[in-house]
Amino acid sequence: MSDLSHPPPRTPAADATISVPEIQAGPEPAGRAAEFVGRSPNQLAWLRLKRDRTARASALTLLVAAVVALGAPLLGRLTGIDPTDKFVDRLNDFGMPIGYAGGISSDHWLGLEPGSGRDILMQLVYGLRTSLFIAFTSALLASCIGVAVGVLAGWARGWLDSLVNWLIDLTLAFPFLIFALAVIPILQDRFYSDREAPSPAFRVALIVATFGLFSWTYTARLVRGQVISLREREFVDAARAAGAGTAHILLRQLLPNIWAPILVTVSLMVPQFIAIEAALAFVNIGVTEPTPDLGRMIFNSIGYVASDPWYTLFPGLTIFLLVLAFNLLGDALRDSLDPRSTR
Amino acid sequence: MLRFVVRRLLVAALTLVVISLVTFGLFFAVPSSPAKVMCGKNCTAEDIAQVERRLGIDQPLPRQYADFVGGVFAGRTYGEGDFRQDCPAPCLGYSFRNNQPVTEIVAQRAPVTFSIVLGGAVLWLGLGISLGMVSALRRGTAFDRAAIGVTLAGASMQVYFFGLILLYLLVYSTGLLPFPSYTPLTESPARWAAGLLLPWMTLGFLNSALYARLSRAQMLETLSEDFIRTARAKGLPARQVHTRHALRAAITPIVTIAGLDIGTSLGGTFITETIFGLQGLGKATVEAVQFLNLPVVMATVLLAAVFIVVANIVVDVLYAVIDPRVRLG
Amino acid sequence: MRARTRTLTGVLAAAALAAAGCNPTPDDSGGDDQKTKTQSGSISYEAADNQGPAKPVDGASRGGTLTVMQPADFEHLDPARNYVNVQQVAGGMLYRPLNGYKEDGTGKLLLVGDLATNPGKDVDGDCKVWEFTLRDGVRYEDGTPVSSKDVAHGIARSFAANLNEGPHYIQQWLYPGGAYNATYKGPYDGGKPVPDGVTTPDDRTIRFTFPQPHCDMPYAAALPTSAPVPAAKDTRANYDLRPFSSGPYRVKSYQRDVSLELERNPNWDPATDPLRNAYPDTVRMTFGLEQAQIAERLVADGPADQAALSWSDVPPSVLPRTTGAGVADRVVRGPTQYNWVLSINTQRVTDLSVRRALNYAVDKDALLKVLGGQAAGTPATTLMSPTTAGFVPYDVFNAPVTGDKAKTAELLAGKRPKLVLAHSSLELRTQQAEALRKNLTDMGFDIVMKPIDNSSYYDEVGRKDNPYDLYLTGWGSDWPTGSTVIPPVYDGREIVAEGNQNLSYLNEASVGAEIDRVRALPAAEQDAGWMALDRMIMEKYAPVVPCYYDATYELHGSKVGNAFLSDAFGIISLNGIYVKK
Repeated sequence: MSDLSHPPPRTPAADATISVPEIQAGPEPAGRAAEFVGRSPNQLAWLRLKRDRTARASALTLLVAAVVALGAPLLGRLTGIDPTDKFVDRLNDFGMPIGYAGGISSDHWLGLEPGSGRDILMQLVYGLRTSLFIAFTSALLASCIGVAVGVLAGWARGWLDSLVNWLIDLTLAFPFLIFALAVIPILQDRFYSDREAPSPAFRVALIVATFGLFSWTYTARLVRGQVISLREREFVDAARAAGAGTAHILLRQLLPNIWAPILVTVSLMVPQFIAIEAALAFVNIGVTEPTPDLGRMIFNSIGYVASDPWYTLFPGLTIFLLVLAFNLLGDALRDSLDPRSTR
Repeated sequence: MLRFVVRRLLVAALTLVVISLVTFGLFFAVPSSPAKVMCGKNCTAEDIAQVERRLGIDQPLPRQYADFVGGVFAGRTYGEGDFRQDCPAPCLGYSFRNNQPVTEIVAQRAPVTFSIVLGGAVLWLGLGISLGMVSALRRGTAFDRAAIGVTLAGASMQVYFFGLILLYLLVYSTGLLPFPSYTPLTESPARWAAGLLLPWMTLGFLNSALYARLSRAQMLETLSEDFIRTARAKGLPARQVHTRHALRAAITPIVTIAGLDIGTSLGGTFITETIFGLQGLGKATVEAVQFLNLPVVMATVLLAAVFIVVANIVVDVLYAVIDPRVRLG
Repeated sequence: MRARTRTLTGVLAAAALAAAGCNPTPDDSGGDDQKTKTQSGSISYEAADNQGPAKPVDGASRGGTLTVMQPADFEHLDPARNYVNVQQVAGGMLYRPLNGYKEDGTGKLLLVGDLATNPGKDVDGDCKVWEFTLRDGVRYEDGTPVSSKDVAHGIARSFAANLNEGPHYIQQWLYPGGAYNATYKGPYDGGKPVPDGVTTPDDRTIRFTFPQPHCDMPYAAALPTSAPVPAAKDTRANYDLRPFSSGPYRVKSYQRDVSLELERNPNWDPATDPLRNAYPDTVRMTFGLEQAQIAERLVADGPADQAALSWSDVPPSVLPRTTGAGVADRVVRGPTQYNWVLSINTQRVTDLSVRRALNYAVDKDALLKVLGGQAAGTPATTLMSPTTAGFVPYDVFNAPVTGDKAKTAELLAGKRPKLVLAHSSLELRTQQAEALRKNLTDMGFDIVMKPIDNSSYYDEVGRKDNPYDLYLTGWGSDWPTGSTVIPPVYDGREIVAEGNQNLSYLNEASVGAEIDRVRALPAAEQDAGWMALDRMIMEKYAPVVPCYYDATYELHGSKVGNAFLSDAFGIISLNGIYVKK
């Protein structure tokens, strides 16, 4: 649902892809191509991915974003500006940046934030760090929980499976936004005494945990289905006959066969977390000042679309490109992992 | 079938109970008290205690929960003395903020959200599915590539961004459309539609992108299935193959997702409602949480959960209707 | 399809260029300098001021529908529970308190009789017994005449614990010592119909007898609790939804959180009302839009919004768009009674030199620019706002508006105090706090930011043992005299465990003694007395850093006539407003 009031698992963006790779899982149907050269399906997928121009372009975009995010302090040193520095004297009586195009100058390459007078470039690169970190860790956390729960349910069957299914339904029916709104302040109060500032890392961890808690369901369902279909396969029987323990079968036999769809899920979850993290700012439970954050920056800048469009443009364009690149990469990844869905 | 539905309903009831318990619990873990929020400017401890008594939140937690459940099924009485208020079943209580019956609030807000979602859904399903189907059938053509491009851009856009830009372009600067507003459908269908056009367009475009991608992938997948080849080999005309056979098979997973999507949205589309200034369930819920308005929170959260749970069941039943291979048990 | 997407971005970019790209934003786009308006609130017993009907407004026409767009619904319209300026102005359309403020937009503010024939008679000349005579011919919406018994009932019901949200000056004065409703709990559940000290010798007279002198009674009687509520029409908790009208309008429909529609009260006689012209036939108040949406709509001035106005401030993001032709003349701006100060918890920050250093350090400019610069207010140096009667500007510290680093360093003498700055978690307040943190850190303090949920912000900082050192707080007086600023906010004897208004917790015997002395002065000398005390507190104790005098910046549509700022309420007045034909 693109209203963003809800976390990723309900959005069909991911679903578009996932129902497909299920069929090719398992080593046996490894493929018609293998007969000629003898490559593993993974190698094949990698080859296909490398040949895809869109994939290369989007991967490059993401790489640049990651490098910029990681190199933010370096850029800060270079320009001599800290993200919290305020150039209030460069704002007019209404708090709007003085000069052309939102205060763009040789000192401030992307201009200044209205109101606070902070450097937009520095806010943007540091904010990118926060947002990317939150999105990545949330996707990883959600996938880890999802895989663990999915494997457990698929393997155990019986009442445990039913319980997991019910838990999934419960999680889906529980309103994410309400939960986040209520829980984030409560926990913050529990962990920090009255005279301590809540550490930015703690807030970020809370957001990641909330995302993780509500977004594992899709992966869990996916993995459960895969495990159920795979556990009856011959290679599992063979392993069991050879005396392999459950742990061995799960980790060494089953998991390698389902990582591909999981990878696709992760790659499509990340952009949604970026978008939802921005939506959290709408209800004032996102990352707090003074930690720079792309999501909050977007939220704050939207209202300026008519009065200082440059301020809206830079973070808006950044998130659009970022999400687009992730979506493209996710598509390419799916295509390369699934030989049948070539475009 | 009946057994299936009954079992699912029982499980759904359990889900709702758990959700209501969690919501209740969460609310009481919040550090500030609604009585303080309500009491206004200069409030003594005694005033606060009085307000708490009036709201019924001075009671122990289990008792309050029992009162709530009792109210839903049997009705209850609030306040004391001259300030008694009877609240007949199904009583969801009174809003802490302005003493309005919660049932009235829900009745007021739900049609707004319903209108947004249903109108939007028609648009996004119609647009999305047809776009996806056509581009699957014309795979590799310019149309297909253009469709992929637009849908990707749409899927990468956020409602808060796209909606706001539409507002500026179509309302604030040009005045082409009126600012969104809600008029009940029964009052004037034309004004109802005109007032909601903008949110429909926004949700329609953004979500149709997702559905176009989904249905294209499904259609491609189905078209490569054996039964389509068989149908073609039998010499059926292409149109019949596509609509009668391929579409029917491809649409099943779309029904699942659309059902859940609509179910989820009916509980409130907070951001869409906020951006377009519409007083729907989503806004009511978030405002209620911020005001610690427990009765409204409980009602809206449970309602949203009911929609999702029911959508789940409906989808499963529909599944069996559409796809003859699925049997419920 | 792709081409269309491109056009969309193209249009956006073009709009962007047109709006800001081609012209540099000048330094002074904030418009004209705001004159600090000093107001002389005075009480008028002149027959000409107290006589109805209200003076006609030049060029005004009767009729039409006026729309007021508000972000949120009123919490209470019940006169006993009405304590917020927007509710008071809205309520003023429905019911008439004993007294009211007469304004014409020129800055002249007169307190005159509204329901009463004049602002109250001090019977014995010692401010202890006050008598009000009701006007003849004031009728409710059903045609029955307004009786002084109904005013007494209105006062009585404001004691009820279930209707406790309103102001309680008169109530506290009737029952001094302890909580206002410790003894008398209202007329319900078998309580006495009227509180002690209130008598109604006949249907047109009401008399208040206080144990102590209260020369401010005419002001207190202008608050909504003195509006008449007939016992027969008292629906208790539900009165909020439909107050029984004694004013020019009555409730036609009220859908909570959506809209309130007022229509004419056919039994209102303009000849009895010196305050209200009541030009529009209908007044519609709509709720639920964001501040920015309201402001954008009013800037756009579309056909549907031309007869509309809003009492909510134009948010910073829309301010630059209000200076253009066709918009600038629809701006109503000016000071309100609020003064925002950085309260220093004097229980924790006991070192006077640190408090003085803070007064030199704070960058008031940065605090204001977060909110929209001079549209949001002007830098403050005093405790009382310029709208207070008898205000005389002074500045104890004479620091530049962006702070004085040298002076701060001198006072800190090498120390680096660690201070906890509590702030409301609202976005703009958080940004203000962050501006303050950065500013004070640069000035040589260690600042810890502590967000508090907005709904409980004043509860938290209002606890005597709160663990914070600094917090930004606003105080607006209930009437424009120093007696509703200095005593409630700086008298140490008023400090209680919870729910404090003295948020710097300043507890100095000398201040208390001064307060008592000024209170005992003849009414005419009190204003100067409060002003001198204001200065004394800042010079001797510096318990707060005065930050900015709040200002409001509101918009109305092009068909709204005679929209001016009410100095009494700090929002656009509705009394003489009209819809242009």
